[in-house]
Amino acid sequence: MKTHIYFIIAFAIALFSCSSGDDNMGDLPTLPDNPGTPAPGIGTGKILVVEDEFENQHFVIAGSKTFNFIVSFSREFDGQLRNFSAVQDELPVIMQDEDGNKWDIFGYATEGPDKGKRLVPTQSLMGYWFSFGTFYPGIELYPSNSKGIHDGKVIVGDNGWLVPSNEVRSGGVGRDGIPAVGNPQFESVSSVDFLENNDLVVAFRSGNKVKAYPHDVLDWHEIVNDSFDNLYFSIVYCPLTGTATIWDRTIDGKTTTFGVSGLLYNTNIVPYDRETSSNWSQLFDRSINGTNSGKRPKNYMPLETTWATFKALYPNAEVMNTNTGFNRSYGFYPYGDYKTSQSLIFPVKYDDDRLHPKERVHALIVNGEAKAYKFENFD
Amino acid sequence: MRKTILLIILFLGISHFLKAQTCCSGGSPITSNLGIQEIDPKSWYVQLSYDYNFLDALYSGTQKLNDQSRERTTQTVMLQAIYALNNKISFNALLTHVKQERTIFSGENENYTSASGVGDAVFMMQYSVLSNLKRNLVVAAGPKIPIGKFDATDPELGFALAPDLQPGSGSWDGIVGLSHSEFHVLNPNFTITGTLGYRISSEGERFEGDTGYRFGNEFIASLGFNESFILGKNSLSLFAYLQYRHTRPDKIDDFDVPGTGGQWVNLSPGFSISPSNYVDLNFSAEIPLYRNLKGTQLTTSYRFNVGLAIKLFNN
Repeated sequence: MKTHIYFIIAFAIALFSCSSGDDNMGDLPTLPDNPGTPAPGIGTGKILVVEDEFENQHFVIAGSKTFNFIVSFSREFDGQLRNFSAVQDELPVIMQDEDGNKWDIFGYATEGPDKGKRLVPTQSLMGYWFSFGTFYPGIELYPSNSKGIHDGKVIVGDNGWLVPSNEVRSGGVGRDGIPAVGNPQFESVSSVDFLENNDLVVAFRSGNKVKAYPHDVLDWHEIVNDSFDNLYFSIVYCPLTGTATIWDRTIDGKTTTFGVSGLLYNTNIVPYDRETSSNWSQLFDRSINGTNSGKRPKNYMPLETTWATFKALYPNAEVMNTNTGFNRSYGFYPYGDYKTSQSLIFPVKYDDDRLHPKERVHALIVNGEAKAYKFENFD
Repeated sequence: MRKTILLIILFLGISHFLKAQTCCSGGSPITSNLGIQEIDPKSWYVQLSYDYNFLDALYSGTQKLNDQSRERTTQTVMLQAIYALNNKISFNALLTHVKQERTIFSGENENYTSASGVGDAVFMMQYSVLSNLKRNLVVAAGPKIPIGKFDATDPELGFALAPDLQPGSGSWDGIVGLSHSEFHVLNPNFTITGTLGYRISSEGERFEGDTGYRFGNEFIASLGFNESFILGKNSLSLFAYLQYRHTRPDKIDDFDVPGTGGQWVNLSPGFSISPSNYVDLNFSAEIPLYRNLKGTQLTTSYRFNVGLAIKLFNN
């Protein structure tokens, strides 16, 4: 009898312990449908091209909700302001100009008088809306060009930091607690079997060589130190802001590697360079502490899209695989419902509630100002 | 003699609850204290113990990952005092000192971080529901008091260390539990003891007050036996306990902290020697049998506890 009583008590306690609450969405913006559910039929999606002006500069933004990509380039080319229009069903070609050139998704002319030349990529990247709202308060939102209500452009550092040191926080894992990959291994597109069509990848092109780095791997390592021929670079990915950048890792003539410091600034990754142990901010795009403080990395254009789109675009590319030298649960997203939750885990300086915080947008960054483009603008 | 054995048994029951609030998913190691003991009226029971918890097993769910990239240790010194007001009611207080260490191996580099200081305290009131020669039942409840240090910082950069590296939790918790023992089960010296405990966490302030951190609630159940022997003037007890532990994920505001929470089943064998009626020396180990963890977590590879207890009777 007593045994039964204990079991009842234990069961009641266990039930209580398993109760959980749900996010209260209230009237907050909702997350739009997940863009990019293409394959099969990669050729049936629609590409839209937008010519826009921002900070007195002219840009062309091309994207497709179906194919799950947005890229942007300067319209200024060879001293001229080019006009662009979309090209359908010819991926990786996405647009053409009035001179008869066809341009691919990385901005290379594939046909026409300027064949082989490249448009100038913008400083831009994909990421969660909130991250640009907090790093670029007052961010414009296309097409209304409305601005955010916050005004926080002046950033005053202290205690040896270029940013307020009390806004830099430990993410909890410690330096190198999230291990960067230093010797990535690749395989051909056709042999990849660990990715689903909707999985996102970050692609990098140098010359005719294209490599893809899956989010499934980046979620666990955040930084991959890699090289193409004599080009030494790091893929820097922050799962908390959903942002990927590609940094040249040759600084002042010295080639270094980046590691994960375990710190966060505005809940965004703070890499450190192993040459000087200086700390850098991915979204502030500079070193914010240490010997290299104030230096800015050279950025290369990242293309973020789905595995389905990428493998159709570049069937001969190389894809980073899970042979990282570390044993992790690749394919299992380590942050629970973070991608869709209103929660950010760590606090940020500014919030901008015009969109759901986790809506993925393309942010164009010019002169320290930002403008965001949504997938629904390219549907 | 019966009382001595009872004390040992009950201490062992307690010791299971002394072990780790969230030892595997971080957190101060001793907030889940359920001191349930029955002693003679107007008597004191004082115990000094040391707990060593070594974590280097990386698990994802139930799968052990092949990874040697980090180690954690938690060393805890605990001072517990119990005073029995009468046959029914007694008071139990526990003070702790905690040292947390973490080493991350990256290539040829080691990144070592540590923090130490006073940990949280527990104060409980116990009520003896039933006590006779055949069985006993004690219930207990009380707060875990956040007197522990929870603002330890990284010595190099000065940033607050993660909650699981802090000696204290920074939060008031409520603890309830019960312990039941059946004596003379197979023979006059064989006892079976079962315990249940539950800790309800509250939110502690973190990150300069703009973000709350809440350790996951914890449920613990254990069942075990104790066989005692008389060796001359000494008493020797051998025991083994099977323990089930469940913790909810920690939360930052409303978000489940990745890599926290889960279920553990451990086996804790040990022994206790009583060279006199007033002194107990005890040792126990913890052998992990099963873990099913949320996300990927570093978890206990082994653990041991040694203690010295002194009993001060009223006569």
